[in-house]
Order: sequence, then C-alpha cells, then structure tokens
Amino acid sequence: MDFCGFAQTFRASAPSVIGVGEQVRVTFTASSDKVSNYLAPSFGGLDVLSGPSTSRSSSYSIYNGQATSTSSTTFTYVVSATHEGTFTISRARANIAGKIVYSSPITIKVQKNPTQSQRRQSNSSPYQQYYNNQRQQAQHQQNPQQGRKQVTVVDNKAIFLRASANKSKAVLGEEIIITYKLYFLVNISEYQANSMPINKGFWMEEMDMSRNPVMSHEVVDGRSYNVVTLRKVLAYPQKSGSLVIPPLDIDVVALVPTYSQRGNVSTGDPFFDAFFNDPFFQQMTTSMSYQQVKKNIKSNSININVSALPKTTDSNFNGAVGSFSFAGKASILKCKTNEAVTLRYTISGNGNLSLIDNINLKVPSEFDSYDPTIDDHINKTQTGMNGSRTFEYIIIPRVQGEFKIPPVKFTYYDISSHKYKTLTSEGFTLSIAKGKDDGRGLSQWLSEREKYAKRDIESLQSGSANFTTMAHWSYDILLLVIIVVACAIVTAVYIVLHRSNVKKNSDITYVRFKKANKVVKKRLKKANRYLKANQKEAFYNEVAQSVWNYLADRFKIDKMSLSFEAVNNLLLQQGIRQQTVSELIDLLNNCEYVRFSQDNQTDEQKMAGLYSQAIKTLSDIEEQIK
Amino acid sequence: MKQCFSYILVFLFSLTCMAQSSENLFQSANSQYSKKQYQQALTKYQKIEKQGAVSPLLYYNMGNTYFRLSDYASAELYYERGLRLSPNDDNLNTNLKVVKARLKGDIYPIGDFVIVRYWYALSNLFTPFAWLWISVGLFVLCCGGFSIYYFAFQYKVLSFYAFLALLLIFVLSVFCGISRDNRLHNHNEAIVFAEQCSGKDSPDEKALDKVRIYKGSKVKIIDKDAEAKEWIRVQTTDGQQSWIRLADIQII
Repeated sequence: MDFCGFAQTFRASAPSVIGVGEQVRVTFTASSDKVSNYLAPSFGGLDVLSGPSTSRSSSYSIYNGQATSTSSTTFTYVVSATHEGTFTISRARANIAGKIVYSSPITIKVQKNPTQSQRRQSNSSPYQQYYNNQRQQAQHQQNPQQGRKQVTVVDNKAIFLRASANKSKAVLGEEIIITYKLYFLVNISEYQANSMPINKGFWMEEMDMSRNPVMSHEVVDGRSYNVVTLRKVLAYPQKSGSLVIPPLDIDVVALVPTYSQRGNVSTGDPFFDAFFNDPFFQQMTTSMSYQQVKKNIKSNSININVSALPKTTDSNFNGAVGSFSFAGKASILKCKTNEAVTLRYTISGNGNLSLIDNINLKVPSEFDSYDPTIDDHINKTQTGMNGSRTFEYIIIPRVQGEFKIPPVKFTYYDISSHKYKTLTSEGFTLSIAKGKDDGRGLSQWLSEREKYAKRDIESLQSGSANFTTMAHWSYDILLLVIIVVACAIVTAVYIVLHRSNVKKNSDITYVRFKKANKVVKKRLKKANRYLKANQKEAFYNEVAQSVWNYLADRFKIDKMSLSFEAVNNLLLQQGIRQQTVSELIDLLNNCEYVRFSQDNQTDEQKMAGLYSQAIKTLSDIEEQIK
Repeated sequence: MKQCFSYILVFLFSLTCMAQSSENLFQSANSQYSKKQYQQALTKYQKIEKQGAVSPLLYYNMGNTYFRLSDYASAELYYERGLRLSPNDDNLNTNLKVVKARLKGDIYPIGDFVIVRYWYALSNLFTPFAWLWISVGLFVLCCGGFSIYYFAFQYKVLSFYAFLALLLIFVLSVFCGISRDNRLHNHNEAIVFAEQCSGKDSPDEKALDKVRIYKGSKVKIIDKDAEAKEWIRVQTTDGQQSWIRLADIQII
C-alpha cells in the first residue's frame, strides 16, 4: 500500500500508422493496480471491435538488496478504421490510487497500405506487445461479447441478414446452395421467420439446420460480427431466364446494453469511497442492464441467371442434372414362374436426385410388372444433395423360358463437363423354370377372362328339353338297397341249392354217370328202361348192342369187322388201360352168356350190377381217350 | 286294388300332360327368343320353371335370355343352375365364362385340391339316376362273380380277384352317385346380386368390414345366422370368409 512512492502514470499506446480494416490494439496502462473510475476515451471515428478489457499485473523484485514492487493495470481495445485518414483518440481518465490521472491523446494515421517501418509501435516494448497480443486473443475466444459493449444502437450495421448463393449462373436443374446468414454485433435473444419466400421457378429443398446454430465470426467492413447461419436451401431452377430469389423476412429481438455508469461515489467517508470506487465493484454496478429491441430485417434478394439446357433428343433424359453413377442389379437370375424377381436400379452421386422420378425400363411382356418403389438415401450436405435413389421393380414371370431384360440407359446433364452423359446398366438374362402353379396362374386366368369378355354367348338350343321331375335327378339310395338286397338273396339261394346238389354228387356212381359222356348215358337210357321194366332178355341185348354201337361210333370202324380180338387190339392201341379193356371184354362176355344161358332165375340185382358196370367201363374208356 | 291302379294311371297321365304342356311352352318361348322378344320368352320360361319341370336346357335358355336382357347376374345364376344338373355341358360352361367376364365380382379362384377335382370330374360323368343303375348293374355282376368264384374248379384265384374288383367299383359307384346327388341337391352356393356389399367380421351391421364382394361373385354358404336368419357366412372363391346379408344373394 505504498501509493505515495511513485508518481502515478496513465499511458496510452497505439500504433501510429495502420491499414484500412486492420485490427489494432489500443492500450491504456496505469502504473498501479488500484485503478477506479476509468472513463473510456472517444475514439474519433475508429470502430471499436472489442474492449475495454482490463488486465492487471504486479511484480516484486529484489535488486542489490533493495526491494522493488511494481504493478500495472491495462485497458485494451481492439479498433479498426473503415477509411483512410488521421484519427485522434482522446484522453482517457482514471482514478489511480486516489488520484485522477489522464492519458495523453494519440493520433493514428490510417493508410491503405502502411509500410512495415511505419507500423512500428510508438511507445511500447516488444515484450509488452507480445504479452498483450496473447491476452487479447485469449479474451476474444472466451468472451467475444465484450467487444460489443460499445454498440448501443440497433441499426442496419448492428444486425443484418445476408442471403448468398454459391453461384449466380446456373443451367436448368443445376443445384444452387442458398445460405441465409444473420450478422450481429448485439446480443440476440430470439428470431423468427415471418414468411418463407415463395420461390417461383425453383424446386427448393430445405436443409436441416441444427437447433442450436454454431456461432462463428466474420469481419465485414472491418468489424468482427457474430454470424449464425439461419437457413440453407438447395434450389433447383425449373425454368430458364433471370430468376429472383426473394428476400427472407425475419423478426429479431436484440438485447441492447444500456449504460448506467455511475460517477465517482463520494460518501465523504474515505473508506466507503474507496470501497465503492473499487474497480471490481464498479464492474458489478455498470453495464449489466439490457433493453429488448425488436427489429424486422430483410435479407437481400438474389438474382440468378438460369440458362436452358442444350437441346437433346435422348428420350432417356428426364431432367437429371449433376454428376451421377448408375447401376442395376437383379435379385435372382434363375427362378420359377410366378415367383417375384426384384430389379434394383440405383442412381448415386451429386445433383437433383430427388427430382428423378423414373427410369426407362422396358420389361418383356411375359412378365407382370408393377410401378417401382423408390428407396432414397439422400443427404443434404454443405456441398449439396448427394446420396442415392433406388428404383425397385418387382416383376413376376408368367411363362417359362429365357428372357432378356434390356440394359437401362440413364442420361443426365453433367455439370462439370457441360455435356449430356449416358450411363448404361447391365442387362440381365433371366431363365425361368416351370413353377408349381403353372397353367392355372392368374395371368392365364386373366387372359382367358379377357378373351371371354369379348365374345358373345353360344346360341339358344331349341331342341326338345326332355323335361323330367327332380326325382329323375336323384340317387335313390333306398331303391338301391332294395335291389342289392334282392340280388344278394337270389345269389344266396342259388348257392345253397347248388351246394346240396354237390353233396349228392359225392356218390361215386352218380359222379361217374354225370361225368360220363352224354352218348354213353343216351345209349344206356333204353337199357335202363328195360332194367326198370325187368325185361331181362331185352336188357342184356340192349346193353351188348349199346356197347358195340358205342365202340363202332367212337372209333369209326365197321360194325361187321368187330370181334373181341379186334376190340382188344384197338383199345390198347388207343392207350386204354389193360384193366379197363378186360373189364369191357368181361362185360360183353357176360351179356352173351346171360343171353344164351336161358337162366330165368337171374335176378334183378345182377342186372343192376351189369348196368352200372357198363356205365363205369364206358365212362372209363371215355376218360382215357386222348 | 282297382282304385290304386286308377290313381297311378291318373298320376302318370298328369305327368305326361305336364311334360307335354311344358314342352309346348318351351318351344314357343324359344321362338319368341329368336324373334328377340326376350321379355316374353323369359315370362314363359319362368312359367315352366314354376311347374316344376326340370331340364338343363331350360336353364341354359333362361341364362341366354337374361344375358340378352343384360341381367348378367341372373344369367350367371341360371347357367350355374344348369351346370348343377349337367356339369360337363360345353355350352353352359362357355356361356358361364362369357357372362362372368362381364361381371365385376368374378375373382381369381383358388382351385380345389387335385384329388377333389378328379373326384368331381369322375362323379360328374353321369347323373345320379344313371349312377344308380350303374351301381345296380355292378352289384349284379358282383353276385355273378361270387357264384363263379364259389363253384369254379379252375381259375379260382382269378375269379376271386375279379369279384373283389367288381365289388370295389360298385362301392365307388355308390359313393360317386351319392356325392353327385349331394352336390345336385345341396343348395349351398349362391350368386351375389347386390351391386357391392361388404363382408363383415360378424353378423352385425356395425361389425368391421372384412372384404368387398361385388355383384356376380359366386359364394359358398358356410353357416347361417341362428337367430335373425338375416345373415349368412359365406366363402368367396378366393377362400375368404365373411358374413353378408341373406337379401344380397340368390341361392343357386
């Protein structure tokens, strides 16, 4: 607290010569850290970009056994000049250690291009300049608002909106990026767009802006503005000629600082005076109130000259402008009828992607095709629209065979080379096998339906209608059951009767008789009659006669030449067994014997035995022939 | 006995009489049709229909008359009725397709299962009446075959298999006949006559619309509303089931 030790100095320093638009530092250094009631000077036409920023420094050194303490307070401004001339910065006032001290005024010469020697700082050591430089930069970054304390009037210089386009000449469909930037020196609490401009002749794609815009700094007319990009639009001219993008109209609420700086507080009490006049306290009490000012601002309008595209006869061109690549892909190359095949054609690159609405794909008529679905992966970036647009066609083969999907041509106007370029995707050969549903497919049904829709009905039939009752059209199950049961009963009865017959047939004689030749039975019929009438002589005669006749007929020999030996030989020749032959001889002998014996006592039993023996023998012969 | 006989005589006489008058009416209606007096022809055909006379030809001619009167739904109904009696009639099938192609309600049908299709094709070969006599004939052959098998000394195995095969064919013919008879007399198909009706989720006017059914759509009746008898559950040819009003359809 040695405020009587040195004379208090308050020194102003600035480069004597600066260039137009150059930012220079102007510092006011007081040789004490007890500075209060600092009053800024008038800068006489120079623009104050920032300041004042206050910095304090103190040092303590012992030199040759003598302790020295120095301290200083520096007020720094950054100023620049908008035009040439000579500017005078007036005196600044400060209360340094209880004493009012004034700095000396400085004259700055502003030239267009100051020479290096001219710029030399008038009175400040290189070290200090370096130090101040560093400090200034740090403050700039930390608190850029500090530089605006000076701006108290919200005019067109304090806030303005600027629209800019990345090009002023374009061809039809070429991408133009339009940026709306808000420049401001004052604080802004809010802004609101009043109306979106109606852009005739443009296809607009609004770009997504982040909610919290990033503030940047830009120097316009020598002043450092805070800049926020409000809106970015991708515009695609849709007609040629001189087109105007109308201004954007926004409302801004600015916060304007109102200075209510108090003068020296004089309470009469030196202690309180010192307290209130403390710089720290003073900063607290000054410049902290803001006033809200609403202002309507408009951006500039932009003129863009749109030239028409060169004429083209290419039917594949549908307005794509930019630079693109093009590729086609089939989901599957081998499939069955009625199975879906997906064809994807992707256009990727930069340009008016979202305006390309179709491509020129010709699907063979054997396929059912549907309108494509569009799949977008489009990014709107700082450099415009880029990404890809995919056209997805679903085609369904209805017929089997090999089919060619022709290559698809895509023509666009290339911005960089100013020429039309045609890209060709590869073609596909699809081999379609016969599917399950073939022949009954929807398409066949549809085509048949179409065919029938065109033709007339068959003519009336005028023949007899053959009317019947509904009974004629029914399946009478009862009637069937009755008939079936009847048939079954008839069959059953027949079978039962037949079975009893078979039982009878189990008697051997009967079987023999039944099985014997009809001729045998017929021949012995007469003999049987005689047997029943008990006419002995006639019976034997008949049996013998029948046997002889049978043999003669059967073997086709003359009756006259028949003798026992002849019959014997003949039968053996025919393959008749010896036993059967001897039985036959016996039978014939018996007949002869009884016939000539005159034995009347021969009974009926003997006759019956002979009769059955005759049947048996003849039947045996009959069986053994062949 | 005598009385009974006279009754039968009278009945038979009336039958032939009816057939005679129907036939006459039919011919006069046909001639009116050829004179393009479709409305008058239709009245006569309807009169025959009321008499209870049955003939696929009558339905065919009625269908044609409706077609000429541009009442396509009715034409479809009568062609379907004709096809019920005579499913393999070429003219009926052709005209049905012609009339269907002019109706909005015709939708791509889901075909029947293959076996079902073959079964229908087989049983449609004959009328139920013909199937009845085929069955009887087959059964007689069966009985004969069995007798032969029973008494034969030779070819016993062969005749047994023949008998079995005949029996199988007989059973098949019985089923064919019954199936055909069922389809002929089961009136479970209908034609939608309403210009456009919405098939509901449940038998209620407020219920959710499930499908749109258009005029001329052939539907299968699945179920009937138990209480009000106002709604029926139908299945369209593409297999969708929904409830529609009974008033919107005409049963084939």
